[in-house]
Amino acid sequence: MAVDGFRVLADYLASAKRALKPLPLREAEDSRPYAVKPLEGAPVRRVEGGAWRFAPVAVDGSTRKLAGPHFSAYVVGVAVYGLGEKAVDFIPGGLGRRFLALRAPREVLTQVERDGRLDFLIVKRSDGAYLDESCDCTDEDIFDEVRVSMESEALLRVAERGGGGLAVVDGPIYFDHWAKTRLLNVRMAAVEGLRRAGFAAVGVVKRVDKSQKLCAQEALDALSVEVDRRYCNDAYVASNAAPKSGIYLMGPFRLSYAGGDLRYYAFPDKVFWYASVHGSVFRVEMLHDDFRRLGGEAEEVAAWLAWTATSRWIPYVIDVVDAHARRLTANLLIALREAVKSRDIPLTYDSEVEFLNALREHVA
Amino acid sequence: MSLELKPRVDALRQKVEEKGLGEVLGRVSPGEVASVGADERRVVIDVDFETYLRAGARIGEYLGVATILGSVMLGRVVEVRRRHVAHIAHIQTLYAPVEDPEGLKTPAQIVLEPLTECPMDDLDKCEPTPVYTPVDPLSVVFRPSPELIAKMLGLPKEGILLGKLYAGGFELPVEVRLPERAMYQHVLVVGTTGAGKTVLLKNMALSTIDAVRNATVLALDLQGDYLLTTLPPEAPGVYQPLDEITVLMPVTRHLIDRHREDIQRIAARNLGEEYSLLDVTDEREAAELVGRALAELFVEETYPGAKVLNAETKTEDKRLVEVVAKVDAGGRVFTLRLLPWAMRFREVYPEIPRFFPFFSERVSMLFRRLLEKLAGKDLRDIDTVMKRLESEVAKDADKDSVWKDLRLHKSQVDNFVRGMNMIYETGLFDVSYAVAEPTGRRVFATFGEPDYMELGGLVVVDLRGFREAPSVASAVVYRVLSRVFEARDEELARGAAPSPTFIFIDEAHYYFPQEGAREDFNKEVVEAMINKLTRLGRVRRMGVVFATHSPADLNDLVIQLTNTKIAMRSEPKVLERVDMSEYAGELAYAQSGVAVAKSFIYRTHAVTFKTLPPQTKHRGL
Repeated sequence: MAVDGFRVLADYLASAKRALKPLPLREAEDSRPYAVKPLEGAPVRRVEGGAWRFAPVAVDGSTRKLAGPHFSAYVVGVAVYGLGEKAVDFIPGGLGRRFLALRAPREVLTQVERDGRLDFLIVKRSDGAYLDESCDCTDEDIFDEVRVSMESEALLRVAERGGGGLAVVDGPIYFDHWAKTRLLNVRMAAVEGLRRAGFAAVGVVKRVDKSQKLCAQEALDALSVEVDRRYCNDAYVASNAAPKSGIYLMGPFRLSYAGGDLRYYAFPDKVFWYASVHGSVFRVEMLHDDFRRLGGEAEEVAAWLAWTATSRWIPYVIDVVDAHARRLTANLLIALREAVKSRDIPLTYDSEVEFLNALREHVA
Repeated sequence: MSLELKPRVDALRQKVEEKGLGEVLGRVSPGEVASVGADERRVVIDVDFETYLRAGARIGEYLGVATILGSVMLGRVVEVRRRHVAHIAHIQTLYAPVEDPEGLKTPAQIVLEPLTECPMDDLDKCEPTPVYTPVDPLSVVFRPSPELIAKMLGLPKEGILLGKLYAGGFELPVEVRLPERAMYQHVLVVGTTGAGKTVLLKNMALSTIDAVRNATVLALDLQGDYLLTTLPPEAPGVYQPLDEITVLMPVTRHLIDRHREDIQRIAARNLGEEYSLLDVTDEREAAELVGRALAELFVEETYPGAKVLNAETKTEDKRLVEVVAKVDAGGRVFTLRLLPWAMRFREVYPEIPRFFPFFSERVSMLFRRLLEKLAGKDLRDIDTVMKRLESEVAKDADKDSVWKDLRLHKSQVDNFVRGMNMIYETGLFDVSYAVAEPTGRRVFATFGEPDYMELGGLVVVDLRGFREAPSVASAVVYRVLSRVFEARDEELARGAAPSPTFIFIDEAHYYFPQEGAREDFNKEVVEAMINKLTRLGRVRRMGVVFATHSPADLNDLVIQLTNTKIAMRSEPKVLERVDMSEYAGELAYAQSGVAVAKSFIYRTHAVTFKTLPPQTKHRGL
């Protein structure tokens, strides 16, 4: 399906005449005011052993970009683990079709939009604006647009299956960017769907070097870490709060978005822990509501995720979905690149490097 | 072009279902090379987890492939691959052992070795061929019906029933037969003790009698296994126990001595209390009484608790030719045709050095002349010969003696005398039932050889008494086989089609010389005879079925000339000896009764089957 569709798409891209202007970079993760407070319990505890207790559903999206002077294609693949009859389900695959956002001159977008063979394409943002030369967006915005909607679709499938349990998502439970309120709503609707189906949503955030949640004074005090807050990030704090060998859990901390602005109410309170696996850290977070509902189990979930860390320093279930999603997007990128190159469409240096990386992952 | 393939690929599954070829399991994997080259034939199939869990996948089972190019193929599963998701994603946990059951829900990969093919649109009339056409990925894989398996394997529909097709650890309702013509090119069955060789041979014997018109099955029986083929098994089988059995019972002088009183006792019982065998004056009646007594003794030993209902005895002069008895064994009534068997010295002496090779080369060469010179006109029986020999030995060897006439060296004389003594000690010659009376020795019955032309059905050579005397057993076997061969030879010479004769030799290693075993030296003779049968038997419609746990002890010619080899549970070195090493994995720990038949007769060269349960009473059951 995809291979034939990519050939059709490449024909359209070959007809693009105008170049696209470069997009700006994305802002840092934490841009909104919030308060972090330690909750009751030991702030740092060693995680030792335990049974293979939980059988969560896990969701992760992988993104890759292929770009030339006239276009940018944003390929997203989502893997869902533990949903049903197969170990892993996919979008694109059994769970959905649309997986590729295209930024290109308007006339190309309008043409491909009308072509029924290209029903896997996204050419507009969720607010209806075309992803064309005038798009006020960043690469990250476009990826988020596709990934969040695909991941949320996957979470809705999890909720539909029912049965309750844990739904572990790779990444934060929700983004806290004002500009993405609509995406926030999409994600929160999915999380609410999970809650109604008896699932507790758990986020695992691997990239925490841009996060400063532990840089709040109360968090630093609780962890007994002294640091110049002007040069502080969570990766630094967490890796210094715990010994370098062994597995440790730091938390729980409650995160509330502060301020009198009514818009803050869009961001429900979260509870998070940091896990240190031989000095490598990741964050485990859940809604405060779920934290209360799970009671003592909540921390056991965080501890279990840490205890099952793999040789890539991340929880087992996240590693499974991450590996499958990356393999999926690698295959898609290779196929897309082959189709584009067959029409002599030039690609950027970064795209060729991305292609080579995908090839390496494909054969691994 | 590529888009046109979609409907074709989609329709293939529907076609398999419409034609009722079998349950669809999956498709040939697009992620692997499907190869049908001369050196390698290997097709990998993806089966989703749910189907795998429900339908299973087992090594050795047969699967069908409906190919994109329009063929139906039959293949055999040679490998089933299962991977946990952790392996697929190259994941290793640092501490926690992965005990994640969700990770099991991965597709199974089945590796299939394609065997035969037919065009799908001409499946009914097709004669399966080896696989010539390629197998494309996405070809549909299905579990074929037993009928389709039988057809695609090209299994013979007629012949001797070996058992049921066995695949994937299960018996399928497909009969595996060995055609009559393959039997004439001889069969070798190997398998460890308890693997089921004897059950297979006994079942084959029954099936041979059932399937081959006018067949004679001659079974050399050291254990008494074939004697039970007249009795029913615990559970009813495909075949009925035999209603009639012929037993060729070697009667030695030792046997007569051992049972002398028993024979008199039984004869007296049959005559009535006030008479004894010695009172019978009619020679014919006396011989018949001895015959009946022998039959009753045989039944008593062989079928404990059974009774002889009536017996008819055939005699020629004083020679007891046969006893035909109705036997009731716990309600099961069958006919026992007992042929008391012994050799007459004057008939066989020229041949003696051939099947009693106790003699040196020179003595063997002069054996006939020696005897004729020694006994002259008195060469009536072995007793006379031995008396003459005794007096000759007493003479001065340097003066007027046979030895001097024939220029025999003392060591050669010693060899001759020693050999004659050994022959005499076998007790196989000139056997009679005689009683010393005041008036002299009275002979009631003598024993000889049957008319080998008239043997038919199951003929058991009862060698139970010779397990500890292999040289005597070998002599008996040599003589019987030799005479049967001559009988078929004679039929051939007359221009008639020889009667089909099948010789079943269980524990065949027993009849072949083994290094360092002195007692076995004259087995070489039997070996030569068996070689002769295997080389020349086919035109005489004679087939030999050998069974052994120790094929290393069989000679190379037998291995070479048995064109059908059946291997049951065996050690690798045993399989190597019979050139079936490739089945070591399958057979090393196989269930009893499971066997691979490798034969030119099968299109796939080899077929795995499971023997039927014992079709008649079997020892140990």
